[in-house]
Amino acid sequence: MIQVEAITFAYPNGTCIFEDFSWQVARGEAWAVVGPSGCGKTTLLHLLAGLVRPQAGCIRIDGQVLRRPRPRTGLILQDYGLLPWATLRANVALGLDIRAFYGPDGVHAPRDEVLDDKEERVRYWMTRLGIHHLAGHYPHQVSGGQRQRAAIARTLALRPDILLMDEPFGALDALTRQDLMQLTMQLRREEGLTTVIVTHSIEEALYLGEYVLVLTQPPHRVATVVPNPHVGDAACRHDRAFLALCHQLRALMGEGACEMA
Amino acid sequence: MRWRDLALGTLATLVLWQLLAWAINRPVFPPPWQVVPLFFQKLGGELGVHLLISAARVVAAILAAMAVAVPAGLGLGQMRRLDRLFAPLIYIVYPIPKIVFLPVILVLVGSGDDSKVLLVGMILFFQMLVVVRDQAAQLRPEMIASVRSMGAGRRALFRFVYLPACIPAVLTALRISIGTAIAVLFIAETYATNAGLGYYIVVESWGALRYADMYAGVLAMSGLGLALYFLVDWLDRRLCPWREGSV
Repeated sequence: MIQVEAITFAYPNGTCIFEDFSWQVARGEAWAVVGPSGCGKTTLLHLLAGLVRPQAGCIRIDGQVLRRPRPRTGLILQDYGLLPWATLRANVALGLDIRAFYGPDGVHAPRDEVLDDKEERVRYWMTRLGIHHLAGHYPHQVSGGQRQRAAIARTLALRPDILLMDEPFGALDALTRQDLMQLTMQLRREEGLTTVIVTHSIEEALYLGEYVLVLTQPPHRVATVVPNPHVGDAACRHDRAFLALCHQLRALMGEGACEMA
Repeated sequence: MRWRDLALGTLATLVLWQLLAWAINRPVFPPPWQVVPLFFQKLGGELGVHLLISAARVVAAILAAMAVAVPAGLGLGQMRRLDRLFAPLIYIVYPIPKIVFLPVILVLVGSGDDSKVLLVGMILFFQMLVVVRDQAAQLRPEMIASVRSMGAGRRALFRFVYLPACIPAVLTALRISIGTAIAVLFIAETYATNAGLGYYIVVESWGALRYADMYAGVLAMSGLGLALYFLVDWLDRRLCPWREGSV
């Protein structure tokens, strides 16, 4: 579904993040991307979302070369990206409003988009995420977890097939985090989503990813992939196999840290 | 502001005015009971016309300033390089009291409405430009990225992000600068014109030693300023309900 083909990406200041980097994600897979801060995790998501383009190589999604944000790819960023001046309801409706604004042109919105049921879709997703009673509140009036739920509702209301998330649970307390991670995994099964979730926490990565892509220090040339049989299983936290995997990931990440030092 | 506060404030002003009128006790400082009835009486006549003309000039200046300052401020706020280019210029020109350009503007633009609108508009323009620019610069890149990821191009970003983001900035700028704007309008209306409250107060009334009329004009001018403040407050409540309590 996602094919990253020999991309090279460097920032204008010369920092090279990816060099001839290739990587593939099959439809329906759950991926976690883990690595120390500043290693280019977010850049990878921006590339996958079509917000920035590689200088060389290309990213294909469903065989199509990605040149701009793709309507069926949902992106949820670290600080939720909610509009502070809009109610949660308006925030959840934002993506649909943008689609209504352009009409189904195949560029900004899918060609087969029908928005007759906009209100229903907004209500459905707000209810599904448990924030319908907060519809009239503004983002600053609700908790971090509720903001994140609004961001998820806003993205899922657009019926994506790929969901990209950047440190979506980083700023939440432990209970809320566990709650939302569970909900995310449940929703990805229900909606048949392909997910790529960026995190700096190894435990989170092992909960959220069938496969873990480990990034160390840029530039990245080879995709280091660790398959993870413990995906979605919170009970195995103290299993020996789980701990060994944690150890392996930490070692992989650690190598890069040493190189930098 | 509550209606009760407004009534109390008005009452206090009237009492103070009456006390001062007693203390000064000269024709140049008539008491409110002479002026207020005259004000309402004249409001239906020529004073009303002058008031409307002044109000129209201020509103035109606000709209003209907005039309230029909002896009310019958004552009400067979002494009760092452009801002670096213009920032020194704005820094130098912003504090210049724009009223000093009155003679130049009168010569270049003529003595009609345009010169007043231009002068008042310049004051509002710089205030709005600076506030809108700072507001636009504060928009977080993450938020813009996440709206873009939902398919928003330039037009949708303007409609769904930039425009709503700069409304509070425009209102703040108005709140800060309306007082100065009206003061400058007053001065501008006392030169080379025969309409507007400035003309009514200085030329028609003061010049003819009709002091009570002059104060009716002062009341009209105060009313204009007050009405504009109320309008800004009302717009703020209507357009920016998320700021409830923070204003």
